Amino acid sequence: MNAPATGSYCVIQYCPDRSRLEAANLGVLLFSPAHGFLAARLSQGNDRVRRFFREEAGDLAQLNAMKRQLEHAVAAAQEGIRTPEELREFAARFANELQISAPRPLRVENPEVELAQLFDELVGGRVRRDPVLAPPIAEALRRRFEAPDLAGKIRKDVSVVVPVIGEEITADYAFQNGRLNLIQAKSFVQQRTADVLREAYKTAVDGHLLFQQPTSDGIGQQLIVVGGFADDAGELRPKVEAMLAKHDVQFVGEEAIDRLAERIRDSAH
Amino acid sequence: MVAPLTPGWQPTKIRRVVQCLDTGSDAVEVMTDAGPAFAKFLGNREGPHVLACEFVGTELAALLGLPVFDHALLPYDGVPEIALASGRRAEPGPAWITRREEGIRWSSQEDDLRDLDNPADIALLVLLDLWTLNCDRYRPEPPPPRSNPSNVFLSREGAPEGKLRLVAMDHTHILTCGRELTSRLDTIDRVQDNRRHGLFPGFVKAVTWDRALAARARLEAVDPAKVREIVAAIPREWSVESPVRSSLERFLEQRRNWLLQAFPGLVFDQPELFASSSTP
Repeated sequence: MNAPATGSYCVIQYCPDRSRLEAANLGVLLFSPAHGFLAARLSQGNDRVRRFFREEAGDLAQLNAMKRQLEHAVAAAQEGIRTPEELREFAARFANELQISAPRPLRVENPEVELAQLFDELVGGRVRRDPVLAPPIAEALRRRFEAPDLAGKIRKDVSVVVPVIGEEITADYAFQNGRLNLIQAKSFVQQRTADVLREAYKTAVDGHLLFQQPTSDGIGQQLIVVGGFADDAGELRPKVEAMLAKHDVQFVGEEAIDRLAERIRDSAH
Repeated sequence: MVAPLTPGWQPTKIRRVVQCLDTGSDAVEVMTDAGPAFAKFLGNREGPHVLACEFVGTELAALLGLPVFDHALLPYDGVPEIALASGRRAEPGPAWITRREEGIRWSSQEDDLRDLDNPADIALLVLLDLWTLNCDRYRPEPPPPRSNPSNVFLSREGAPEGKLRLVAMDHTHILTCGRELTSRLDTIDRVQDNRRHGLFPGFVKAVTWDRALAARARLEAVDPAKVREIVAAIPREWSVESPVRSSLERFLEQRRNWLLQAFPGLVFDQPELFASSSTP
């Protein structure tokens, strides 16, 4: 772990009408002068935008192009931003549909990890009041799945549309071995049992609908949830596992990530 | 130290700032390693003694059996650096921190108390404010009354469906109404202050004679040694010197004894109507 230092973070939002102040979070930006770090992470899919703004969102391909522009602008600004005030000035220049919030302070020990955590908390499906797993399940998955032995066998950030519901979801990873396996990291750490079960139920329904309908290439698809639970959620895990299994969703505990990786290495093509 | 302040909830670091609030004590909404919370730091515009008041008031509320937010002392190491709403800097040292709960402040309307799951606690909250001379919920005098229903919090947590739970919050202005604590806390005029602190007009009907008697029984059950432990546990970094602590201990004890005689009559216009009966 690095020595802790003060950094700044911003939320990147899609806000089609600033008068209405309605916005969907698309990404996060982290700046740590002590670590010489400035990076943004943006969502690959646009399911939040579609859910909030429906047809008002317009051409999503254009939105993706604008997201790329923003990402590249952040990369190009690496040399020019050395202080939080310079970051504030940079953020203020984005005054159209894509906006960057004013910087807020955060504690930075490992900027890459903190960027992933921020993305998970502020852009992913997590409820704001939930504490963060340490390390978060998404980070544990990233460390294993982006290792060299899985290169070429696994794809990252794969978006699919859930049949019937019509919502786009983004799988963190996907691999093919006769069927398309969509892998999502989920932290079931909500403080209320009902919230954990609600999240599990939504995931189960999405998974069931995906399982029932082959892809446009005619191959089957299945959702695999890699899940983490809070330390005191002992009795909840079997319930969540059973609910997912009954809806054709595979559950993989955090402790079985390595076994899943071996399965991918041996069977994916 | 009275430790742990809330069993099972002890954040150890502030991960990030959510927003700085323009309040008297420069409260900051933060995300900690134990989830979302509100923090009050050394360096706030009102000085370290409001932190001591918050500590004492919240611990006394819990001692009486009132619902309070999960709370803790967080050893703030100065990272991340935080510019408070007043423009001052949060200073390293023990910070007061409470877990964020979902809910809403009370509207100040009597009818809205029907949503409460724990209406009997209203009498207990009034008694807490009387005990601690809390001016920051309701103080009738000097006119005009000082009324702050924002400090009556109605939480969604722990309440059955459709109900809200009254929570005692924000005690930064007990004892001296935000001024420095001194060794003259236990003067007779303060011990026998008969103003009806805490008794919002909207609370009057909810504070029935029976509920008031039940609240007094809670005060009577308080162990004076526990109160002394609370005062002794105020972090030394908050600059409450020994003579001030002694005066605070004496005040809380003498004020409690006085209230055990004066309450509930103090909050009823015609206590003689109830004194011989257990119901109004």
